Amino acid sequence: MTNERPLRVLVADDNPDSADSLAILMRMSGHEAQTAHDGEEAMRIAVSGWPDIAVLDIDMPVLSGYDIAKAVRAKAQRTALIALTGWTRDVERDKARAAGFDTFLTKPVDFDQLDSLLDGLKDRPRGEELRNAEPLAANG
Amino acid sequence: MMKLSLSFHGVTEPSRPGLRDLFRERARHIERRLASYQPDVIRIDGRVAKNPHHHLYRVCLRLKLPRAALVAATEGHDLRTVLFDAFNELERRTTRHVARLRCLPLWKIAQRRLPLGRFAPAAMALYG
Repeated sequence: MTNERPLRVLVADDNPDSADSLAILMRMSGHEAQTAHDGEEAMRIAVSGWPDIAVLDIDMPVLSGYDIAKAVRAKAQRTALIALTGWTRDVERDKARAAGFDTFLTKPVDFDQLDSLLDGLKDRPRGEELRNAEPLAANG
Repeated sequence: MMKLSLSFHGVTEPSRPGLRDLFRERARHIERRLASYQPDVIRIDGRVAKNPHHHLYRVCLRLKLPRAALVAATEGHDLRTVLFDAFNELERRTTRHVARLRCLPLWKIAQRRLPLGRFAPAAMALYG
């Protein structure tokens, strides 16, 4: 069954221009996007249940991306979580996976890669339906 | 040399005279802001599309740098103006990004510009 509603994407990055840039592209691709520029703001939106997908920078002031991912998973929300970081080391990937992230992307974001990733999520169950869905395959 | 690409979607050749030159010229402005980068790691992709139903042009510029990607998107009825506005927006973002990398808060940049305001009346008298 195809889901008609556009994907709701939270983009959290303490670099407002990076966050806004990503949000612009999300909107151009037909998704709804909200931005957050620190961990606290991102946490508030992420745990509200609004986003279908959260693209979270790891290093943010107040709360890190790991903290937010753990909180989202602790609430048993099945929001798809995408980690965004400049670090490419394996230990970072492992930490992201342990925190509950589904996918790991390194900066600079490859917009086409992210776009095709979101395209793959369009027909996934959302909101409450996500509770019974399979987790995403780890990327990268 | 920085990498540049410009693509057109639904925009006919006669409606875009000199647009590639304008794109290259404005891209050089951005490159000057990024003097600390090797030119070959900077990439700007431009996409110009026309909405045939509303006769609206949409320009999307993507600047790719190591560890950062910035985007500016604008739309309007005049293609050159839309491209100009998109580059202005991208330049603003680039300036902020470079300032952030230098750990220079924006309020400091604004503060540095304040003393220049003192010369404004004299400048207005000269050139106004």
